[in-house]
Amino acid sequence: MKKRFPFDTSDLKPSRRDFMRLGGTSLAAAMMMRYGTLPLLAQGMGDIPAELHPGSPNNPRGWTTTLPPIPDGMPVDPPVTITGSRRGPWEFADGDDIENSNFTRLNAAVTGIIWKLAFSWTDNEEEVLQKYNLAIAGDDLPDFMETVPLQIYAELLENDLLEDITDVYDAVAHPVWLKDAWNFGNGVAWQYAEVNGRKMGLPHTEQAAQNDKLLWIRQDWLDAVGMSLPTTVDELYAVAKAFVEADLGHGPEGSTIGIAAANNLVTWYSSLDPIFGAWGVMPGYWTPDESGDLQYNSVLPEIKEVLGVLRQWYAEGIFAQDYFTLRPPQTAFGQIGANTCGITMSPAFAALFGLPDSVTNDPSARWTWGDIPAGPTGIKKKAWSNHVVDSVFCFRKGFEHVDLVLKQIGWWAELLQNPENRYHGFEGTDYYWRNDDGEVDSMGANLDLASGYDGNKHIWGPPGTNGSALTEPRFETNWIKHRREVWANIPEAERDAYMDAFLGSDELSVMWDDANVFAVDRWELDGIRNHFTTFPTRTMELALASLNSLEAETFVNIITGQVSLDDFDSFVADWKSGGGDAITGEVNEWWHGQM
Amino acid sequence: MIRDRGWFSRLFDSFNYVFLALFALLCLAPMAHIFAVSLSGRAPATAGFVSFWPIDFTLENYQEVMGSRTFLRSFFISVARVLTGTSLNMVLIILTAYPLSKTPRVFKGRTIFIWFFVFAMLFDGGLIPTFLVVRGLGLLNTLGALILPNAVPIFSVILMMNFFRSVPRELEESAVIDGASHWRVLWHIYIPLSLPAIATLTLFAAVNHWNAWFDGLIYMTDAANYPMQTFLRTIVVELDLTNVGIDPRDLQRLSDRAIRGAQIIVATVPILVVYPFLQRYFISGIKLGAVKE
Repeated sequence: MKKRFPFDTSDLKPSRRDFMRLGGTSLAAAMMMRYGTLPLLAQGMGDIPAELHPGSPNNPRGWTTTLPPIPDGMPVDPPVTITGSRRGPWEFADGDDIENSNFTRLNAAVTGIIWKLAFSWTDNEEEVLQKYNLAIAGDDLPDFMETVPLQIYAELLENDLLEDITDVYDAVAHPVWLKDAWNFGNGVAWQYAEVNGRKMGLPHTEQAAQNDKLLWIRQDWLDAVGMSLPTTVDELYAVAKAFVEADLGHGPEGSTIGIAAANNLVTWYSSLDPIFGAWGVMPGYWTPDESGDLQYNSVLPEIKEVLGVLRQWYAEGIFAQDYFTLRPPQTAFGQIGANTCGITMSPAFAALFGLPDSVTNDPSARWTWGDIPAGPTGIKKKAWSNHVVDSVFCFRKGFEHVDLVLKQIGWWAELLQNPENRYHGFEGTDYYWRNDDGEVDSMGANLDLASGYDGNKHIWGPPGTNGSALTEPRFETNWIKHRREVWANIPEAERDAYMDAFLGSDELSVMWDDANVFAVDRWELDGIRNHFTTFPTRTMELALASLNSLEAETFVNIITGQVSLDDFDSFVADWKSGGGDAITGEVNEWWHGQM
Repeated sequence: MIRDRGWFSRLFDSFNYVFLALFALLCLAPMAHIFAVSLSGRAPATAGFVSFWPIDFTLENYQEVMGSRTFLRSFFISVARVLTGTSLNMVLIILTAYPLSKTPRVFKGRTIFIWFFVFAMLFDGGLIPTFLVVRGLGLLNTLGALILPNAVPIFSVILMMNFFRSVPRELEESAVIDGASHWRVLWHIYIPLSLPAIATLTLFAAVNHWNAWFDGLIYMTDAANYPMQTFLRTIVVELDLTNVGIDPRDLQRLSDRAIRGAQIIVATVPILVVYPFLQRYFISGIKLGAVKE
């Protein structure tokens, strides 16, 4: 009988679950230790022509990139041509394209793999579905498929179009940069890529704590009202209130907004998740109760308390009157960037997104950041950002060279992610020499972002995917720490140009580094995890959309004072009878089934 | 004609003109706004400070657009598409419409052909089969994929056909009496008399080619070959970052309103420039007075 995938969730058991049991800290420490050991130079490394090497060893202030040992049996002879699908856009130096770039030339020399583009798409969400659907309908799947969206992935699994890579993976995957990196947190990375204990693809992971919120606040406004960085929700409220009353914002009188908020209460920028977290709950998340069952947080009594608080704040003008219409980037541009608002609960990357606009528009703006505020009972929690993205790297059924691709991915993952290797890309693609004094301009720092000029995106396979799919979730943090702990201790006269460029960063970049390290340190301590991590259940397929809109409408109406706070109770009843009880049953069936 | 009108009629007219003028300005407002944004600095543009006058005036956005290979490439693909596609459209429209404009007595199979074309106009093969045909012909990632599938716009053929039929029969007859062939009749009688229709249909075809984005998305499997509008769509439609991996480096692309403004202006100007040149052909009635009856 044909399986009804993905509706029959009993078939889907992400292999292991509890992320909390094993912290990633010890694992990361182990990796840090590895950084101390220099990679061995493999035999045959001399075969790679010097012009293919990354780095700039011949510049007076240049550096040498150490290439990791060439994997066993590589480069394959004769070369193997592999087709792949990619997410663009890219920008290239003269004459290069995605099939012929610094990456492909070095890669061909190291591995013997020649990549051919089957199809590509850009960021558009519809576009990727369209392209994959056409490939499936035309019976023309590429050998290697980049970031396959879950609904396509389910379709491919259902029709048995994907190669089971479990055995090959066990045999040839890089022990540190693939196996350890993706084993992080007891294998949570494999929640989608592994089906019934078999690996049907490679996980798409992003950086740890990337969306974990911190409190970003205008220091100059704090000074103006004579207050200090708030540490509790009550203090946060007092500061926001003071900002609004002092009307410190840019624009017409009375237009200052206390705290930036967006259409979703729990989102990736200007989120209110730390406020809910201060009461120990997270709307939309499933967490275990005392009995070990998963419970849907949005219907818990604590939510009602938080909504009561937010309702009061809204009435006092802490939020924008139309906050529920704003998408997160609009808060970044229209409130933070436009300097009408001095408080946002946003990730570490706020220092690169939103804050720079604020400083450009008002050079006197000084920002600072702090930990999220604690609630009345001292709880301090936020939405835990799952670093596993809901898309998978897949291989076509019957594809013979999975081993080669895995070896290639491991080699590049090590080259990119081990700071000791000094990989900063290729001259002319990722950086260029600004002048004869040996000052380097990193395009990463000074990127032509409109066109997506970034050499890492030319790399085929997870470490290079557009959308930051490095394999090591603490890569960014390790890289910051390495800069601060190793580079900073090198006497200034001995530093090369790239060290100079990165050690002499501006205030906001330093703030980003600090915030990033802090957020990652608190990642597992302060995060409330959504424990429901699989395909939607049967009733969810039917009822989730209407339940979600019921929830969203009720919450907005309560916060904006359209309905009374007690309407929350009727929402809970409606939610349960409208499919919520059935969903809870199904979720727990899955939850207990996979322990 | 009544010239002497009451005050109400005149008031109504002036009100009408004022209203229509305001309405016309309202239509221009978004363009003017985007133009101002494209000439502004990045930060004020994204913060929404710019309305109709640039803030921190700069030409940098245009420099960047003109320096972006991806953008220029898509621009030239679109230009090539408009030039070749429109010419091919017009040749085929005229060659198809001419025989169909004859009576069934002159052109025996006319009815069958008409039905054939109308059928093809009402029913198409569907997305996937059409894609498979285009792929099977080896047209993916070529200009042919953008031009050939819609090389004969039936609707335009019908318009052209009806225009040909309105050309007085006597003109053709006089030429035939002098020994003119069909080619000569078409070339020396119908085409010169149909310039208004040809100009209009050319404009339709050109605008269609310039604005089409979906076929580019489907038939250009390599995003590097996208024509202009497909490319613009991928950058103008705002990223929904709730469900996809966020690359902090990508985030900056969200805030490039000024650059996107410049791209939109650059993409719009060519087609705006075409209008005035075709305008003069729109004056109909060229054939009035050609025949004395």
